[in-house]
Amino acid sequence: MLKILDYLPDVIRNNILIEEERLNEIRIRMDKPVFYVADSREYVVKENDKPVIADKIMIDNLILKFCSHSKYAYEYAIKNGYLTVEGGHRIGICGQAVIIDDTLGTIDNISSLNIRISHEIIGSAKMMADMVLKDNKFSNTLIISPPGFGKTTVLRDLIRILSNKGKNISVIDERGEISGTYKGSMANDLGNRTDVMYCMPKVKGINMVLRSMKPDIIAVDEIGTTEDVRALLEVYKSGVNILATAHGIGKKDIKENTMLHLLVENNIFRNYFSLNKDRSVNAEC
Amino acid sequence: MLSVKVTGLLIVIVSSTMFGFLYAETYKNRILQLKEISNLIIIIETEIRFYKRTLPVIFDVQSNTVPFMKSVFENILVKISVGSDMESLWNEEVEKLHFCTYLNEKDIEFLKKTGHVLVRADAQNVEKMFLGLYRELDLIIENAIEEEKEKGRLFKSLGILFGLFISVVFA
Repeated sequence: MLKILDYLPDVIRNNILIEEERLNEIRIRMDKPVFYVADSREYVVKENDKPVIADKIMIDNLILKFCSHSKYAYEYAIKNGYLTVEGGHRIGICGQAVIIDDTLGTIDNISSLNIRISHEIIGSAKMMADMVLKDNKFSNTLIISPPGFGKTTVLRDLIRILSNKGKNISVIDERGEISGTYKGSMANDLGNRTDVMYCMPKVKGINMVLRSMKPDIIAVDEIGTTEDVRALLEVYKSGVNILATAHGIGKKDIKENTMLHLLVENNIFRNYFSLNKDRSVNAEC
Repeated sequence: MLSVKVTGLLIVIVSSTMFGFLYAETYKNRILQLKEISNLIIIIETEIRFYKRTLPVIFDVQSNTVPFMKSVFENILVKISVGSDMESLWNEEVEKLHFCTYLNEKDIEFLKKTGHVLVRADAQNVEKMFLGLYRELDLIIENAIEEEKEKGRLFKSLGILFGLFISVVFA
């Protein structure tokens, strides 16, 4: 399997002085210094004591590498502002929106990349699992945190634990980062009873697995749109359990969210876990 | 003595005629190889447009479709895994086809253009880019057929005539 550093040009790879396991993200912006974050501290990539400056050629070549030299195959992802590479690492992208017939066609002239390194931390959701699964009964759970606090890492581990405890879980992995699925095989361990629908729009995926996979739990990452909420209400009505994550700081944020408040009002979730930067967890009911 | 001379002359006529025919055959083989390339491009376009498979996957699956392209695909797959640039690898590999196929400079240039299209295509322009390739390849094949008609016949006749000429001179 390719490691994320293998994708990077020598000038960056050779000057990141920290092992990949400790890296959180690498930020590459056109005509600006390259930064990386490790153990929540930011560093500048330097060569001979001078910051390494990213240019258009570097970014274009990186995009081609991330896309396996096949941009057409990643059109949906690019249009949605990200790319996912082998190992489930997500690359956020910014650039020029190309509008075709009043809809977003693609993102061209990409000028910024945020490479977020995915980590599989086995056991990170153990305590959470004990709380959400009592007498082998799972109660709907929402994991809440701002970006970069480890929602996906915790979700991944919770899925693995629940799956190995006998629950059939269908994961709608829109960006392929929960499972790190590449060419059909998963880079991350999601347990023995987990089915993954990857690179599939969330709502479509939810409807499909609901009808075809007879899951005990449907797991989705980063819910946030009206369509997501509607789809989850359908899941709830059908009697299937839900495990999801959302951006926010706590239950209060979800309550006040213009779209997600419906989930609170309809008592969809029994457990709300908010993650803190220091990896501690607050539980609310 | 006469029989040796007649045999010698016959050998000269037959070998020069064969040489002419063999040389003429290269024009026919070039057309066949261009048609194989045309079929291969159709397959690649289908893989790209309808299955959205990535180039390394397509190269892996299609490496046996056209025998003379096998080494191109296989070498690219080996080198791309160490992080090289796909377009320059493609150009480097198709350049080698000069020595092991009947393709000429123009055909190799066309293949290089194909590599550029494969690497640069996105979902918005892929159809049009392939359409451009088909048009150009059709024209190349048309010209190759014309060339085969003209030069093929010419080299066949030249082979026979050269043999006869030598026979007359040394008879």
